[in-house]
Amino acid sequence: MNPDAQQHLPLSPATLHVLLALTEGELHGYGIMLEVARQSGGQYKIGPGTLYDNLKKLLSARLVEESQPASPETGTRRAFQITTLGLEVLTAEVERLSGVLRHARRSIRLAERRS
Amino acid sequence: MDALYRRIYCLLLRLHPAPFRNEFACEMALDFEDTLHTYGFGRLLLDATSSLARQWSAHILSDAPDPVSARRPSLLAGDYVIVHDRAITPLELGRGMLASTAMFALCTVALTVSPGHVLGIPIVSASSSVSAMERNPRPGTRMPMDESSNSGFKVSRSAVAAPAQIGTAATMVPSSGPAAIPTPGCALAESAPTGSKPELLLFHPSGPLPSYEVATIKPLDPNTASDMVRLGPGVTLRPLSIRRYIMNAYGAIYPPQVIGGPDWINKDAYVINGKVPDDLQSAFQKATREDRINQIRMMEQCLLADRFHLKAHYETRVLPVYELVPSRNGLKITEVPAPPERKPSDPPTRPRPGDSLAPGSMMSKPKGNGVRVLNGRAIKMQLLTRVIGGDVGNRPIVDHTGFSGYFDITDLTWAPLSDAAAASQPDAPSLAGALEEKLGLRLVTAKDPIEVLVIDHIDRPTPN
Repeated sequence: MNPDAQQHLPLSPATLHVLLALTEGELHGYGIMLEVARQSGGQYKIGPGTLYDNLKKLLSARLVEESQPASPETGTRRAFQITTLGLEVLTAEVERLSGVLRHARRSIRLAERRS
Repeated sequence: MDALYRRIYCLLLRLHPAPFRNEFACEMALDFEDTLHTYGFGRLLLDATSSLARQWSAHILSDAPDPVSARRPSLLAGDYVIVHDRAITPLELGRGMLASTAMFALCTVALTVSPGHVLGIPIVSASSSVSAMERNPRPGTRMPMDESSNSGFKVSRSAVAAPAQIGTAATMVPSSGPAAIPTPGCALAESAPTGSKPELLLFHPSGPLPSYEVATIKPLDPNTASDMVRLGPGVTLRPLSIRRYIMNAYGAIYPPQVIGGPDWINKDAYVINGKVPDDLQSAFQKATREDRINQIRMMEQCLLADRFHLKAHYETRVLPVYELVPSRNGLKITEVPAPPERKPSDPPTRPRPGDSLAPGSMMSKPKGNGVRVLNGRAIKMQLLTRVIGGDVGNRPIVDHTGFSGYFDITDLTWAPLSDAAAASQPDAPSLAGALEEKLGLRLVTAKDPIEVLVIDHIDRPTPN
């Protein structure tokens, strides 16, 4: 596993969702918010403050890059896309969470047997 | 209520640390507009407040790096994995909260004392509910405060006063294209001094509407109709469409300012001739040009009501616009003295080919390769926005430069979007590029409250 990716783990839920949303392709801020809500079945929604707080950190960590600047001529907004490093971090986080889930399920089963 | 919500949210955005605000405030404001009705204001307010606390905490911490914080395994880590790190001490958190509260209180006081001017940030339009941050289009872009103060220009504190100058300036525009339509709409200047008015105000008639003595309306083949609106000596208006006629009668500059109506008002063309009553014609000799135009507008509105059975009402709607703002490198043109005031008896100063431009006038004409060249002498920013507005489609341009003075513009050259030959010129910049390079101005996307006319009912006229 890429050590550069490993050093960013673990991710906060909002960061995880933002990265996950950007796997769908380049999105602007509102698009990311919609995608996060869609992926979570509407159970997890992030507002602009949370979104750009996370995007700021993701941009500085080079996990996300700006794919399209705002253009006054075409009325387009800033769009963002996940980088290769960002995809590696996301993959590593998902693997880490899978391990946590496996451990959690085993622990719960053992606890149920004991009780 | 949305306007109040927007103001509060934009105030919160302004309270964020400058680096974060400059980079993301514009996008956050746009996203706020998109999510206001789905997320609810309370949730967005809580989100922005949390963001405010987080950003100030991070800002303060970054100013004084903490060796313990520096060893955090990940900037992206959730709080549950950094419980052993002394990332934020109570003292630091308290400092952040204190700073946020103090700034919030200061901004509140500034808003209360001086609406439209907050902490030195020039909110050009006190009528706009969209904040200066919302108008800041690009990350890393500062608002024009520094440029304006350094160059000695006065920052306009209320754009609602701007239409008062539009009529005067518009008189000088050559009638050589759609942008040259004389649409003063300055009658509202005295009725719009407060900060609650929209921008791009329409013309509201004062008193009963005068009517033409005789008016003829003849259908015209739209395929042969001219694309220009011409005001001839006999007050003959030859519109391409009735929508254009309505726009002219109500002082609308941009098509989105007239909403609704059947499709035929966009397609049917008429030649409309109106004879001004003799007494009014003689009164015109002594009236200012603004007064004459306003009288004509009222007669046009009367004709629309009588012959087209037009019923319409005014509304304020938040529409996508381009805002003209100074570029981050500052204005590249200098202020010049105001043009001399004109008297009613003065002859028209419409520039002719070969003549030098009279003060207060501007001319935009195409070159041989389709590239457009604009020159102006002692003109205001409001007039510039209207002239270049013809080249950015139907999206209105709003003057948010904050400059209320007069400027000379020399050979502003750009390739119009509508001209394929000009657009293919390798050396011809776009309008946005020309504005930035030549004048130090930028066009940025935004949403502003704009006054619009909503058509409730209109019938085809009976030709005569």
